[in-house]
Amino acid sequence: MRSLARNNVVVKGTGKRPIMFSHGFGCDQNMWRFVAPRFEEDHKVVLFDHVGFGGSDLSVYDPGKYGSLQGYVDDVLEICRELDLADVIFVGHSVSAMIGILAAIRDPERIGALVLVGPSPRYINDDGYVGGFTREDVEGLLDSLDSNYLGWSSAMAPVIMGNADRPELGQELTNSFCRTNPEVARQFARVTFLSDNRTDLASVRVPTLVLQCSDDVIAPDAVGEFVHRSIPGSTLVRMRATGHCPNLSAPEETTGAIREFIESLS
Amino acid sequence: MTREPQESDDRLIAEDAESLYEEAPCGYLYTRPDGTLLRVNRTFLEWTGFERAELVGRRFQDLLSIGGRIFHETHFAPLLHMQGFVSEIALDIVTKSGGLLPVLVNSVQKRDAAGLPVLNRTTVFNATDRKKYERELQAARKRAEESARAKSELLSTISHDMRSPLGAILAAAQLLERSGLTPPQQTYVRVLRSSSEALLNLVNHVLDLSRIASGRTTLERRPFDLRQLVLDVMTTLNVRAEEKNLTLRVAIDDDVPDAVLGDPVKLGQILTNLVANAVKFTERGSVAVTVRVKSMAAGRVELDFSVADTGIGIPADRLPHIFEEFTQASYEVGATYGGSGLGLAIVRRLLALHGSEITVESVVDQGSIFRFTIAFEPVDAARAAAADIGRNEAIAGSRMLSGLRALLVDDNAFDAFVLGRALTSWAVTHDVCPTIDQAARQLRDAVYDVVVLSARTANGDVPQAAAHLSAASGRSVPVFVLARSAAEAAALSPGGAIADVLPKPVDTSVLFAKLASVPK
Repeated sequence: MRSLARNNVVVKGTGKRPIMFSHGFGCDQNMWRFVAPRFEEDHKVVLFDHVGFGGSDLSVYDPGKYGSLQGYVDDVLEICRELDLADVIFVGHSVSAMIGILAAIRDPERIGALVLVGPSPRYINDDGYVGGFTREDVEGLLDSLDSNYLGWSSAMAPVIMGNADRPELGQELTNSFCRTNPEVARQFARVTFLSDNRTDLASVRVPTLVLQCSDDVIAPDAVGEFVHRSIPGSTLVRMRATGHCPNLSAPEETTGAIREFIESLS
Repeated sequence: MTREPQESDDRLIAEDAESLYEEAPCGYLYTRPDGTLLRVNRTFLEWTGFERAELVGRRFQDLLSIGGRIFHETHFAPLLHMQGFVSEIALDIVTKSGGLLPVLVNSVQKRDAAGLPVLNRTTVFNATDRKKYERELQAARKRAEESARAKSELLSTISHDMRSPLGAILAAAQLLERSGLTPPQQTYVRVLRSSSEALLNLVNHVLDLSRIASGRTTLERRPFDLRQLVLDVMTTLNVRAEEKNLTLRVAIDDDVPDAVLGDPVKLGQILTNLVANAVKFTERGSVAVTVRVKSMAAGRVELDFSVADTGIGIPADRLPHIFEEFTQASYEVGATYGGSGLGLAIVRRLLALHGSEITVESVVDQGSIFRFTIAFEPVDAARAAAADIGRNEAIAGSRMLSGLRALLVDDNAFDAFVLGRALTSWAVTHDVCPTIDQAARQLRDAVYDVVVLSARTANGDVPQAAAHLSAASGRSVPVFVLARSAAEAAALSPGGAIADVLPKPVDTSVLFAKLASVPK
């Protein structure tokens, strides 16, 4: 049961059909704290942290393995194997949407349906394709990550330290939200923002829901439409929720959309 | 004279609070939960160069640099939603003129009675100076890291190129040793050999360390016999301990699993470095290794290891530094004892790979104790046996040597223990005597097929001691002599009562073959 400790896997719920929630860049499974509990009654809910984030085992972080999304795909499928899951509804946020797509292509028996929250197969604009960022934007971001030891990914530390006067928060804060190792965050940003998975979309053979937010800086409308057009038979739902994290800002709407999709499967 | 606060005071304070809001030394913003700006104070406008009207309808995150915007969406906003506040996030605001203003941002989310977020209050601190210092620090750190990397690469390249010629020097010295030299020549060759060995040891340490530092070292997972590994390490180092008349002790708890899944090479390196150090820095007394179970759960056993010595100890003010590279407790230590100063640095890094740390307690002139904990996965015996060649040899041995009666004559309890363990695994019944006299009495009282005699215990005249023992048995039992070194083994030739000579540390497969030739 290697992967269960490695990825801090948490299994909850009393239902049969497995639903797996996969967090995006910059946070951990806490991202699903308002959404996942609502599926516990009739699903087997599986939560986990990608290696380098949250409560995962940082000691197994291997820059080679996690130098491409395939390393994360390996982990997802290994969790499914070790928990003996089949026909999983995989809910992936942000970069995890692409991880889910690659997993579903590799093993459609395990990953039986996809819910993609704010997916983007390519962040950089390219010859008629609108990704939302120019190459300079992304390189500027990566440069600032490379040179910024104290700012970006370690920006979380002061939040934890700054709570001496609120000890009741201390324990949870030091142990939970969005813990990120700076080195890992830097490499994950690179993998996330430089990958190009546009050609993979056409190979998806499982039922797919695309959840597109309004005003999403990270994954604009045009990108959601591109994903929808490229995945055969997929459903696109435009949400009223704004920003990149409807799972936090609009849990009701997000839950409703996922439920409607699941009902349409049976 | 005091007076009660009056209504006019409240008004004055309210007016002043308003101007405090506008002119405070930080930016104050109110936004909707989605970031839309509702109210901005004058300080913020002055810093950014915007007019109030230009910010109406814009969102806070739209004012950030691209990198900051991504950070806002992936970190800042989620965190604010989850915990209701964020503190001291470093971001860059793009000012009206296009410049970047480094800021530290704090936000608090206001919620309504139903717990839904309705308003964010954000405080912005100007971090221009701090950012400048951070950049300088980063640049300095980067330079230092690069220079350290360049140095260690150079060192690693040189070390690598030194290894082959050193190997050749050592091999030549060993050949020379066996070529019938005069006593002074033998001394010169011994110096040549021990110096080359020390140098090779240093070179190997440098290479080990640079390999770990470069991240090329990963942990293996394969089944191994933990007891055997500890004993192998001790057996190798017992030769050096014996030269200094030190006692080596091993205590492994009975509930420590025989076979575990882990990295035997790395554990061997850790123990070898620690025990070698302990032997090196101990002049009198003992070196003891213990292994105990700290916790046991399904599929996971945590083992506490300790290496204790009765050596020179480490002064308290040097303790924090002994795990640093190229560091020894003092200049005198380096001069007296030699060594690379890398052993403990390697141990520390190898333990870090295991997610573990080493601790040390030490009292000057009394000794030191090093402790660490590693978690392994226990392996069931059948699976371990398949992977363990030693065990198969033991099974074959129990058929070939079963019934053989041996007397071990060795005053080194550790060697006797290790050898006894091998004999037991081959089903050879045996007794141990620490002195020649006791052994002679034992041989008169009981019947043995073979005597295994440590040259050290024979105390000088090995052939005579062998003859004495053989005669005492009354049936001329063959005597196998265990020499202290290859050189001593070469000097002692079989003949008379001496059936054969083997150097310590004993290669058990060679001993096995020798014993197989003894008539029962």
